Amino acid sequence: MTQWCMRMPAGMLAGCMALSVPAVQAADPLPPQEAAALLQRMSDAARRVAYEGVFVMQHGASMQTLSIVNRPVGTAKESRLAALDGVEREIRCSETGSVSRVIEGGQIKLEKRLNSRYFPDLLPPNAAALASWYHVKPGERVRVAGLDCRQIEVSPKDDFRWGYVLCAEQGTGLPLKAVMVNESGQPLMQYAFAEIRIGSLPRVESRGLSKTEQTAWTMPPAAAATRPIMLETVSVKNLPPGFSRITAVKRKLPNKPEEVEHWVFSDGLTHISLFLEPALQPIESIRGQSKQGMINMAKRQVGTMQATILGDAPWPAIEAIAMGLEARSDAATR
Amino acid sequence: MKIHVMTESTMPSQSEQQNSPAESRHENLSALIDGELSDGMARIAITQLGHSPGDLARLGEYLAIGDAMRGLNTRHDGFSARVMAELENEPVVLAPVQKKRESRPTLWLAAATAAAITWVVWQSNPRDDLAVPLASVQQTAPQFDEASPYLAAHQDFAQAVISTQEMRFTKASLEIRP
Amino acid sequence: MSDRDLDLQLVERVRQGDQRAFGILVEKYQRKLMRLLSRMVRDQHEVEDIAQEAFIKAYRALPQFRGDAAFYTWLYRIAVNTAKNYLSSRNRSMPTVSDQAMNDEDEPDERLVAQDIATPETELLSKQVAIAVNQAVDALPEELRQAITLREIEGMSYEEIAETMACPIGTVRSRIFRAREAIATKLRPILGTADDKRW
Repeated sequence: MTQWCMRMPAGMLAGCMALSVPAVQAADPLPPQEAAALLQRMSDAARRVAYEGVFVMQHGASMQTLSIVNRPVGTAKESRLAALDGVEREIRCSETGSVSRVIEGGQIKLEKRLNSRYFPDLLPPNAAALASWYHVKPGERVRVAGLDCRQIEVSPKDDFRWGYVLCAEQGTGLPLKAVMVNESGQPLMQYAFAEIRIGSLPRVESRGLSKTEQTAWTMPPAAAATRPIMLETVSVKNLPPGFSRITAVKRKLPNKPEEVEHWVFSDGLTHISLFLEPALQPIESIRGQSKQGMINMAKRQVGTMQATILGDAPWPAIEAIAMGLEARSDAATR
Repeated sequence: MKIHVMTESTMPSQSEQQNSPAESRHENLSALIDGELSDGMARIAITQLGHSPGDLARLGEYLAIGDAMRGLNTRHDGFSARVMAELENEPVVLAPVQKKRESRPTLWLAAATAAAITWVVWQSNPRDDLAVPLASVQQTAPQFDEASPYLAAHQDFAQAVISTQEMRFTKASLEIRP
Repeated sequence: MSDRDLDLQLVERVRQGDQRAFGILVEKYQRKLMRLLSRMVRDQHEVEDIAQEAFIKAYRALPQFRGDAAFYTWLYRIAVNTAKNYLSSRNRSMPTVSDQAMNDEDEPDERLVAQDIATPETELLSKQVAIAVNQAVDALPEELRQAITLREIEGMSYEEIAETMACPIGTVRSRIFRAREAIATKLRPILGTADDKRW
């Protein structure tokens, strides 16, 4: 039986810092240690707090509604999400990854995702490290889904990332709303809970998976979605500060006959992808930007490869990576 | 929250209390919304609901109290009565008809459909050294639908679960100086 | 019977021809549904219109409800799609992210707003009601207050509450009922008895 209660005073989580900032005006950025602690508290809450609810994700005029149930298991988490509109999709996440089950056109498709983090689990497990690259400013109190929250601005220290405004629930630090914003403070994308119940979960969840459900979620043994890269054909000379490569796999994309390489760079919060594949003909250099400017991309030729770089980041970040790509002279041809 | 554990129950149980018929009915409704009525009792309670007009509103009060205790925006007006009034014009729903569920796949991740993203790009001709001025736009959308799988694969990692129909790309021209 | 079983049984009753059972489902989920819709549509009247249409659609579609998903998940899907159709048929899009976040135009851009989409009016009324309810709860005799709190806030079953309070389940049932009645009695003057009074 859980001890959680929505009326519990703040500070229940071990190691959490009580905020002592003036309530009304947005204060100066927090000193690095406090910033790190605050980020870590919000990050931990998404994994360690039990909650269930419905949230809306919005980009421009496009919206998606999802339900989520999060159950902490020891220090890890188990989440289940379900799309409430559009294609029927259910996602199950654990520490080791996530599997998505789509019912489309009468068919059931199981897909493994590379990442297992969804809103509100936006911040990485080591969120304290973000304090090196982002200013953290507590702001005013707001209400989201009926709960008291504190607005927290997480703004980049440079031009290589977008910022966020998070609304962290007072008692637990759980982000109930997150707005991704650009350099002018314009919103790019937004998540917000419409309703949430923190602490006690419906008893039906604790009965575990039935036999049928277990079968429905077992990936066929042959379905290996990705495999590791053996030889690197390209080197990245120029990464924005704080970014490192967090994964590199070979994977099959729907429109392509052969596998492509997919590398991901991240600072923990911002993600940029690099795709590499053989260039079948001379590649023209192209730059693109999504309508609201949230996603920037570049495509160019590097040696014998076609490189496509895209990410939820400002153009300077994509440009830095794209311009710094060099073919490795020791690379074997594919 | 402190929980007091009572060592002795001093309150009379339901069977000892003399509930009026109305009170019994309401107590059943209270248990019904908590999901704590046996199947048989639930069936009776639901049937009785039809005979007692004010009961549905009372049930609404109980539900609204719970919401208010949890600090949620709530409401208590004639909404359900209005819905039920409108339903009176509807043919009564009878036993389930096994119809095949029509699926209308709305794009969720830009996996396969070319219409998912429209790219508008201005390409610089690699033979020219001049950057194409931003004012001159050439629409080459069809060629760049191939970007959708990249976006989907990227979003596979970058936590977005949104449909990518809004990802309309604009601008371009990129000069790579050797 | 679990909450989910209750919904299934209600649906079954409706399918056997008892429309009134649908009324319980409406009462049960109308608030949750409208809170969700308020995230998508600003005007509270429109939220109600859409909610009403969604319930009617759900009623008509009940023969197709398979019971493998939770009823309210199924209902939500209908409601969200109804809202989207409603807006597009009026050539309106959802409130864009920028609409929702824009605050005072005079303020310099430093201030980023993240307001909940509820209108100030509904916020105020709701707040008054919440205060009144919580005052009524605090004024209850201890055993009634404890029972209703464990039920509504902690989400405990009657059995769990009986264990916690060391009393028979029948007593739990009775206490929760009397707590609700006591609170409702205090609230009726505030709400007014007229059906159209809104919180």
